[in-house]
Amino acid sequence: MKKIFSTLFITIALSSLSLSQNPKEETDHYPIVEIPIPDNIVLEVGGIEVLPGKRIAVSSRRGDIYVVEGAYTDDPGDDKWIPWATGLHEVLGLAWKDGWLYATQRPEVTRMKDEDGDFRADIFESVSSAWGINGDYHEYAFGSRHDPDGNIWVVLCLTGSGGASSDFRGWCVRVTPDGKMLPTTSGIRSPGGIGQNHVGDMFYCDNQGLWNGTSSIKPLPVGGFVGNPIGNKYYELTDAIGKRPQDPKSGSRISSERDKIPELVPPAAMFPHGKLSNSPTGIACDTTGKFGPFTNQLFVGEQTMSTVLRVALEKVNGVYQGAAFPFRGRFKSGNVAVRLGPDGSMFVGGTDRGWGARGGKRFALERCYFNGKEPFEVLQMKAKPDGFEVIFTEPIEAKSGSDIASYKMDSYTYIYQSGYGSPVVDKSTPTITSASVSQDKKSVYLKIDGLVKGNVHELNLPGIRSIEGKALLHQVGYYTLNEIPEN
Amino acid sequence: MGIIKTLFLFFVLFVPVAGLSQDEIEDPGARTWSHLDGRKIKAGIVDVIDKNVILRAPNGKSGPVPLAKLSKEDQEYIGKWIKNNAAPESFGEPDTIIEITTLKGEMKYNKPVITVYPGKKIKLILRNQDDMHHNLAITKPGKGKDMKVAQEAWKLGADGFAKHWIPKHPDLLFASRMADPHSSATLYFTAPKRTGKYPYVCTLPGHAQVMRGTMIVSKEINPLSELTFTLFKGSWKKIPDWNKIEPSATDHVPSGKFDLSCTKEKDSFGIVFRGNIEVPKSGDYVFTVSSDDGSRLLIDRKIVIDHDGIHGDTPKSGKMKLEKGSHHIEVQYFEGGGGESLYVGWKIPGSKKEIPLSVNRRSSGGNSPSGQLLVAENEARIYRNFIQGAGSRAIGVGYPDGLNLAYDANNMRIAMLWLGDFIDAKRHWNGRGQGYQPPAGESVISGPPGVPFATINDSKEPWPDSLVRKENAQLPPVKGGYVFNGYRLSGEERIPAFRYTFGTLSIEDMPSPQGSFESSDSSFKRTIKIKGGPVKNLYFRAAAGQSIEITDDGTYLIDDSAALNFKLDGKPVIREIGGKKELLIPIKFNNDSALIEQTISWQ
Repeated sequence: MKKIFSTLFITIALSSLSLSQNPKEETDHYPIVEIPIPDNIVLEVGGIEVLPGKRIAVSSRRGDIYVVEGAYTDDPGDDKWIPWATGLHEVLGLAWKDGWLYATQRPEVTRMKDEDGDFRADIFESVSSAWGINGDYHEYAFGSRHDPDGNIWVVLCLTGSGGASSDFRGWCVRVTPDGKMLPTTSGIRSPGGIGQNHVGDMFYCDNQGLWNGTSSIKPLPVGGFVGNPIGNKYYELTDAIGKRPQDPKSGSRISSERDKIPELVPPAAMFPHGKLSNSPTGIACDTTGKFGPFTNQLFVGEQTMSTVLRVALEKVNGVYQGAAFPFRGRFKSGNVAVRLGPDGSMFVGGTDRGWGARGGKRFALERCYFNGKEPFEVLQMKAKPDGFEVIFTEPIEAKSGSDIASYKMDSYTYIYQSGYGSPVVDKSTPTITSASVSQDKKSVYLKIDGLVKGNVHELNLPGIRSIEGKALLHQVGYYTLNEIPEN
Repeated sequence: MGIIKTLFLFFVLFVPVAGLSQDEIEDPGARTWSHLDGRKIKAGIVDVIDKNVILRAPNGKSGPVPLAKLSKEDQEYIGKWIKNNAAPESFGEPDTIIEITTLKGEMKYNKPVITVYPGKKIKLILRNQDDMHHNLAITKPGKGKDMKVAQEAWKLGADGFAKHWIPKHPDLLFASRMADPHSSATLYFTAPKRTGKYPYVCTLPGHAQVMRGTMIVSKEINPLSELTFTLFKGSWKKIPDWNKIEPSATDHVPSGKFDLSCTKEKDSFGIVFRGNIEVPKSGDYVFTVSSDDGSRLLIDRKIVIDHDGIHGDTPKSGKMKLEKGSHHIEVQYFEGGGGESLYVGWKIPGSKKEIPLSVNRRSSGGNSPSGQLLVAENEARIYRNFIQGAGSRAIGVGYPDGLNLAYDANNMRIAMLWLGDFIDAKRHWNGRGQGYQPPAGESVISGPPGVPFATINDSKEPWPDSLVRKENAQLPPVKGGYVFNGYRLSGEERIPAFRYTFGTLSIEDMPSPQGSFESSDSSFKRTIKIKGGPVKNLYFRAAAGQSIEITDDGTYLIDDSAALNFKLDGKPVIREIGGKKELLIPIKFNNDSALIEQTISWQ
């Protein structure tokens, strides 16, 4: 009776885990503390930046910027909100550099300073406004932090959901320290956030829609075309990144179009719609080493599902690709901005305005942190010529690791088309032929028959146990196999 | 004359005695007339008609007395009075006659507001029904200007009486002579061409604090006059029989229009407004009331609209045939609980436009400022967003006293200035926030389109379009064109100064609000500082419109909206080009810099 009960329990647990979230156990490792927002503030968070002196700056879609003190502690009593700037136009990016706070707002990149020492900005300098806006709500501008050269990267959403009526809509541009605008990457549809990885390469998240079968995180290489051709007419305005690439053929696949269009850069990681993400947003890279075992990995906000995802990328044949994992659920509103503080505090803020979110609150600002209890997770998946190497955060129990029944792999992709989104297509079930546990028991080499270039490879690992007998906190990873390595 | 002399001495003697109020010093009562039949009549002079003088006794009784029946001294007095109250020779027939009465023992004019049409000839009769002397002085527009003039009058001291307490002061425009107790005094003047609110005041020492009003110079004449309100307190579900309730207050409505702000009551009260409405032509008139809760509108004591009962802010209309001329109008209103509002409007025959007769306008449903009206409390409130009339890179600024502007950062121009409410953020702060929002306030002045500066080498060369940045464009269209540099906030009110470059020039444009929305002197003082010159043949286009006129005092009137004044080196040029007028300011550099100081006010 007892055994039946526990089996039943595991079954139920597994079926809920297959929904890719495990909030109760997530809390055991990554607690979330809500930072209470004063009653008179509507904080539809669009950007967060870490300031010197244990303060953070938070920007809102209503155009206000607050400096918050006391946000690093659990104690709401020490919080102090300073209305630092107001009246900006939907600020979706903040960056602090050399005493200036940079804000990316719809019409421009602005830098601000408090000159008279009253804790409020007095100088608002327009750094660059070299793109068009025409009154359409969809023409958002998301801005990064400074890259190593001091540039701010701005991703410019299309007009409406699928038009380009203003100059450089659908492009990523760089704003240099002296205010020049450099057209950088074409092919953007509807960004939700932008951020760098640990080596300073820039990434952004793009939402499912026209030419995006599903949402994804995409790299922004200079001169690249990241997939949506609607804004490509603006190659006429610049010779900065060469000639306009050939238009992709609607109804094709990204991997086959890449063969014809050398500029086409595939998504680094696709986020299966409805399963992992419907609306990915802000990107933060843990370079602190204080946010648990995921140093140098990317954390991605999710608006619709009120979650944060984790992305572990690698470069194969010069192309970024990798796996996306569920990381943390149960945030209170639709996450937009994600920022890591120097102590490993991850600040997450957002709103559900205009687009609903599971969290339920109109807006929220939260701090998620690593409490020192290591979670048992898949740390990373690495593509191999004949399969994947799966690396874990803790040594695994060898028997579960070497049993191919502990794993299940599915492969599929999305149509690359001019229409909105895509069904899941080209489904296959690659066969795991062997699973070899490494000597240190921290990784497994999966030999697989039937890898499909360009497909998402969804790996479920329900049978894996740590040497302590724990199941994985999240038992699924989604690897986008743009390239299959040769060695 | 004897009385006046005595009075004068009396007055002079007592002025230095501190602590005595003016009332105690100056209580001459009315003049005493000597009838040939031996009677002594204490009365004032109302008018002289044919060979009769109309006298008015302090108890309010008046009647004609033949001139011939009065003493020689009386007749001399009347002769002087006629001379003093006659129109100047060149004046001709007045366009408008206005009467203002002083209220006995109240130190008040009966009209806190009069309205005149710009440039019209006005005969203003001050009917003094008080036991004291009074006068009426009209000053330039501006809050406190009446007090300044009155203070100056006080300084006249011993000379004051002889000078009718009218001082020399740059802010003083027109003044009546002193009206003796129960007498009248007439002032003839031509209404200023500039629209605005002109204070009037009694400049006799100590009177100005309470004895004042506002002359509105406006092209929109308020058809309502003599509007009073009677306030009742009580809780009703329907309009009660007002005659059976004791009113708690009655007074003139300061705004001269239907206006709930004449009481501070918010719940459980009723108001009956009574006054006259000037019907401009005979025909069918449509009246509309929109009220929360019940209301009723009566013309000549007949019900035109019955909108009784407890309800939200809903409109109801009624029609009535009216003859040209003055009619009695009455609006009854009551408020139970919750929100309270009253709107009254009418349509003149042949016009589709509904003209408000109330201070507030009709609420317009979804777009009404009841949404998320932004208010500048102690500091300038900035709102960068899509603002209708100012483009996609608009920077709205609401200043604390109800003055507002929208700056167009595409083309570095002040796109609009307006009064009253700033802007409703409801459109942009709900849902996804699509589209453009217009100003919430009123009296929008639009600035000239396009860029503010250009080099013009020939007077026939049109203002260049080539420098204009379209809102959906990436960059200014010409190398060396305009680049927006942002703004800097300064002062206690954190007022922005906008900065940009144009070629080698760096320019700062700081509009600074003057006065408040309610005061008559609302204007923007705009200071534009230019550095990085000199640049040859550089002009600033201050205005563009169908009509640009210059008045005697050097004010430029742009169409029916803005009035511009300048302080600068060089003379503005009015030119006609492409069927339109432009006001161009040639820029004179002093070494590398130049300065433009401009005042923009409402006509």
